[in-house]
Amino acid sequence: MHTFESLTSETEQETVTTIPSGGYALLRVAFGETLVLTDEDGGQAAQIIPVVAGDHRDRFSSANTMAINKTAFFTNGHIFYSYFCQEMMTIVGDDTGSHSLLPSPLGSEGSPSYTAGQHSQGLLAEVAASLETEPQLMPFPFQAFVQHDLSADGKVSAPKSGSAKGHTLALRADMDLDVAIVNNPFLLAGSPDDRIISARILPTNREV
Amino acid sequence: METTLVDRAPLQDFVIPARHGRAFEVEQGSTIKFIDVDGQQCADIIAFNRDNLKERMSPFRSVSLAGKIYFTTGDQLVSDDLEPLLTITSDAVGTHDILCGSCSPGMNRTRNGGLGAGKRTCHVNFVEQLRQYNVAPEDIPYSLNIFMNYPIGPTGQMEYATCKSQPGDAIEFRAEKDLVVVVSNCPQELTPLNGFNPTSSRIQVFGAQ
Repeated sequence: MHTFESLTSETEQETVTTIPSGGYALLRVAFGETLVLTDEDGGQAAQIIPVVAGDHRDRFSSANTMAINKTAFFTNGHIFYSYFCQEMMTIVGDDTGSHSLLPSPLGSEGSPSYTAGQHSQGLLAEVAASLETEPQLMPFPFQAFVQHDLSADGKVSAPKSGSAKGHTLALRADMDLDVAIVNNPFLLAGSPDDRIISARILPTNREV
Repeated sequence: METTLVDRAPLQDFVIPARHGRAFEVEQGSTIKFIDVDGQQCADIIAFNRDNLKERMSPFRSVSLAGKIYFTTGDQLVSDDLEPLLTITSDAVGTHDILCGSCSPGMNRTRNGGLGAGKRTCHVNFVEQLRQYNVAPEDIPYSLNIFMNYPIGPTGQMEYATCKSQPGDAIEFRAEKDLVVVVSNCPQELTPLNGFNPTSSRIQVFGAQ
């Protein structure tokens, strides 16, 4: 199994890992630690995929998370649930204010959004391999900084980023987790491909 | 859109008891008709390619392809690779949920604590029915929830409401491949989904025309 990087040390000094566009990081976040993502350049989106440390059969469930929280748009206080309904992470800090779990529309085949969507799935397949998970078992990720409009008849708008330069999203681990963080430029069709997202882990009991 | 199945004899015709599920196989081109016998009953439906069980229905990819969250006649349920598996060909109600997956023991525990203990759930129904196909519990895909009334407001908020289906209301699907289909009559009686009274449903399968 892949060895996941822990960003905390015995001296509890933070280590920041930067994730370039098109890249991803695999991090171990222990119970009580807080994962803080920062949109360093603004206008970005990232995918977050927590899985239970040591047992990747139980992984983030967007369906259970929406059903139990009774919302499709997430912010402070909302909880991520796993496939078997374990509490995985709690949002404890949010500068952006809303993050959508709705799937973005692909558009018609051959369109830029469709092509971007396919590239996005390709990137997730790479992440799946690192998690030693079959691609069809990869969960639909949490979409940090992504926002959608939803019409009364259920149409989902093209995605946009709700984050400004320096915006952070803080997630407290409610159990030991392995977390994949994907700086996915294909989430927002046409977004620049040179921007970074940083991740750091605050030790237990240190506030955001 | 109304059914085109008038005066045709089904190849399969069975009742799924309240709170239970049933797996069945269909050939490409078949029509699956789900009938809400007593009204106000929702059911979860999942599907697999019969010849490759790793090809599974993906509600989230289906939403991406359709660009919307409310499905009805003409909409397709596709696999993770966007392969069509089921097409809705007739729909008497027009209200279904595709985002919230299936109820499970964990969900009952989280939402209802001790009250939810020991009650049947859709995920348990799926596990039981898919054991014969060696599908592990954690490999069961999310479902389309037939007639489930769980609308989402403009700010993303959701609230359970009772199914709008009346006795005899039906939805029909065309199988786009040879499939293993599993339908679970939602056992939920702690939320208003089924009017706090889960009931049976009827499945008919008609051959390709």
